[in-house]
Amino acid sequence: MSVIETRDLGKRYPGGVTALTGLTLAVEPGITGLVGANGAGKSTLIKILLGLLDPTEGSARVLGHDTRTDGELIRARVGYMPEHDCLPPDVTATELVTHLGRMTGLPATAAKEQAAEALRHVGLHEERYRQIGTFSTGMKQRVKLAQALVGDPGLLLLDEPTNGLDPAGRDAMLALIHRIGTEFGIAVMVASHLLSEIERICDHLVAIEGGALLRAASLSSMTQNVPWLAIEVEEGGDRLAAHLAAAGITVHREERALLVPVGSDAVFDLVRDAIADLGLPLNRMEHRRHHVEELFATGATRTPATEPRAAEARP
Amino acid sequence: MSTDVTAAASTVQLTNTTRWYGNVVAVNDITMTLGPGVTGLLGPNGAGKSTLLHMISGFLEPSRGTVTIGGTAPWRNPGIFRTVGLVPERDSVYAFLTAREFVVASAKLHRLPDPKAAAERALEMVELIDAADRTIDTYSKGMRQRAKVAAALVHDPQVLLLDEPFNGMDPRQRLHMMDLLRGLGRAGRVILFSSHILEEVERLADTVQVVVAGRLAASGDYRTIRRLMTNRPHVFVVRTTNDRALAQALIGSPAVQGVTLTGAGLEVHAGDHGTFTRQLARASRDAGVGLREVIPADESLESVFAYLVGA
Amino acid sequence: MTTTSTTAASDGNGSVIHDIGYKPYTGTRLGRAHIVRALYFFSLRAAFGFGRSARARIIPLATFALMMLPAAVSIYKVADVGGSLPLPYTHYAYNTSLLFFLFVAVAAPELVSRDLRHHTLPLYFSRPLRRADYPLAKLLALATAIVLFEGLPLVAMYLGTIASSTSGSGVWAQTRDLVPGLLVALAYGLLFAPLTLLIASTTGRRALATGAIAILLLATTAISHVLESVGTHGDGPPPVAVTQGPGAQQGPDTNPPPFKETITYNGIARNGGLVDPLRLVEGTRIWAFHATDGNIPDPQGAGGLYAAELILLTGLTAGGLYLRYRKVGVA
Repeated sequence: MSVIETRDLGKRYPGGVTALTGLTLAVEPGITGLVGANGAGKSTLIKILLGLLDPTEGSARVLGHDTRTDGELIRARVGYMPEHDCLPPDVTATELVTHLGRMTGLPATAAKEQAAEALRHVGLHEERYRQIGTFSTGMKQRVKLAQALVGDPGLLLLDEPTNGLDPAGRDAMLALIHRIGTEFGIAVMVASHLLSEIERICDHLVAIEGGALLRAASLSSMTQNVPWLAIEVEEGGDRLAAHLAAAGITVHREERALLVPVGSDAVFDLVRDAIADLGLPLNRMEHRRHHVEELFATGATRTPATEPRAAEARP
Repeated sequence: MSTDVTAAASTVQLTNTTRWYGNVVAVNDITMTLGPGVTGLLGPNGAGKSTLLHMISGFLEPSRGTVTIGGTAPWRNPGIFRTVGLVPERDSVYAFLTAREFVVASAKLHRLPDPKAAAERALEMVELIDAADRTIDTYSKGMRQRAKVAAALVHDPQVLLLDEPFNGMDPRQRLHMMDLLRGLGRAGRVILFSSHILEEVERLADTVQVVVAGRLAASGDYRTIRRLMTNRPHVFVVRTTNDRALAQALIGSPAVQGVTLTGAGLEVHAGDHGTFTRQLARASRDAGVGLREVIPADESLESVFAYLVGA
Repeated sequence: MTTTSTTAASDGNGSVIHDIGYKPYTGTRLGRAHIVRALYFFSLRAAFGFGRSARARIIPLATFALMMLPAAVSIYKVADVGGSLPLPYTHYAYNTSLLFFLFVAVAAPELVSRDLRHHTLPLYFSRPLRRADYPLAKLLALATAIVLFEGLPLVAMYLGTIASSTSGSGVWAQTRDLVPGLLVALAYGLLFAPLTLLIASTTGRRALATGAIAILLLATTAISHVLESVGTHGDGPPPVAVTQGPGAQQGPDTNPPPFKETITYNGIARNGGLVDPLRLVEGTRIWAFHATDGNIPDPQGAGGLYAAELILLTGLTAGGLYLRYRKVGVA
């Protein structure tokens, strides 16, 4: 059962701005990345999915409910983590998450318990009794996540969850989101403009551009291996290339790596032995694969991934 | 626009540069040289990147030390504005102007002989021609950034400074901006951009300057920087036809500090990068193990940065 | 840092690792009505400064304590000397209006400006509430707070007075007098809650909202006072008794006639109260109860106008509040 389904979804604002057009997609359970939609497109989509805005065309269903008619039902089962700052500084994390738990419809005691659990799961311990104004950005993002989690949602909508976090904080947040998506049994949709994050934790990807769907696919299909093996040796690359060519293997030179068509086991062993014989320092031997970024490369920058990139001239 | 230039005339040189505001030392004794090409200024928020950019562009005076561009200090030197273009982080565009008006105004401020033509060229470089007649307040964040870049490029500066230029851009706009900057760098200009997003710096910068809490932690190519961290063992993930056999062989080598059998292959911690990388292929052959993949796991800018900041 | 996912296990002999992983919530989920009620009580407490730091409670509780002061004094006076209340129930609110202004100028921004300042509204609107529920809960909460602020001193005064009352008819008289007073408190709640909330909802800066509300209330009071003075006419200097000279009257039964001056109010004075919310309530009270002890010039024919404007203003400001919150963004 799809977690989110849209059919020909469109939204045109009175001023003439078209935020979404002809959007048809189905989001399956798991962790899905939403990429490319910035500004109007993203916020419009989120508002429609939460049942706060009616589309001008088409329809959308979230967790089986129609967004036009069942907005409240949807909002009771969807947790939303906004992108911008939205936390009052002068209440404690516990108070805020408990209050918002009640706003989701949890009875008073349940709200307290769920809040405590949500804060535990996001990794806030004794800090939770301090006022939010004293928190670091990383802790604030966790509080935002906890308030989305407090009502045991069936779907989490996370908008740029690593905004403002330093690399260590980003890692921690991504690991947390990954855990939630895989162990907690909650479907997650992450809106992010950082493609490396999407590649790291998402199973599926939805790419939107100009308000319309650009691509919706599983990550694995988008980051498939490409039939090249990239070999990086710290020195002696030319000798290695010559050696391999002499053995009948096609070699393409890149700036840093040699590309060899992936073939049989014999090829692997040939490469290994060549390196061993020449005594070269092997730093990398990696299957090239596609990157999500390729989806957005314009004509000028697009190198067909199946072709090796030309050696780049250095100024 | 002219593309040939003497590198020396545009080299940016900082020597023992320090800048403080009251008790806060924003930039602490930084010495660096920036030449043609794209340099990424990387650091956590509040590390002093913006301050550095403002000192190089002449808006701030160093409290101590010197900043020069082509040998001249930019501070209180209006002539420097011919050589330098700055794209600041904050929204410094007049929302009620169209992009064209804004860039033409910038051209006029630089007293260019033909401001309209220069503006057209700049707008074309950033691919904003189609939307150039709409007012800036109708633009998305990415388009505003492009307008700012156009205004900074209109006088064909040899040095271009950009403060967090990719903020708010979607992937396509980002890729396009990166192409633009890469092209400018290849043509011989000195491009310095700051970012706290590693992915962007990794993609675009030829050289990286890592700033942490006002101090310059490292410069250069990040892979080379990683090699220089000899006190941290390099981590490799190796996939083979017989992980355990290779593990046995490797643990006997003094270059290897640790080997872990994970579900996805072998994780090797090599204290001596040079020796290990030379031994690996030989050891595999001798053990009769086929190598399928060798991946340096902590060679990314992310790991390098984490190590630098953690230090 | 985060909960490590250690798998539950047991060795059958008493040693156990418990499963404290994520557990879905299977309990009751309450509907909109309960949520609005929860928000209502939350806001009601917030109006008196509860739910935040102790500093937030100072003004609400201090003004409330001062509100009780006249009641305490009255109770003491009646218990001590008997007689009627020095400050009648129906005059209580009008004469303590400055305390009320202070209270409401602080309470209204507390309820709505904070959420605006910290952009907390998306956290509410992404929940199973309707757009209108948020302002509704805030409105009812502030109205309740105002009614309590104005009404509790009256009730206290009532209870204190009948405690020292000796006859059933005395109790009845007090009860009869209390009711219009409580109705005045109710009117304050209905009129001032949407008005002050609407003003407060225009800005996230609490100090600004407090200032705006205070200035509005004080200015309208001042203006209506001016209008009252302008429209007041006495009918000439008072007559002077002659005790000496040719026309002098002698004798013990020729006391100087009592001082008497007739004061009349023209239309300006009578209608001037329409610009002042306080007088709006007072004028409506005079008109509705045919009161003769008004604090303001008797509106006479215009009394209906006061009542109509009261209702109209309440409706318009409440509507404005509703419209204000329809446009707030989520994402």
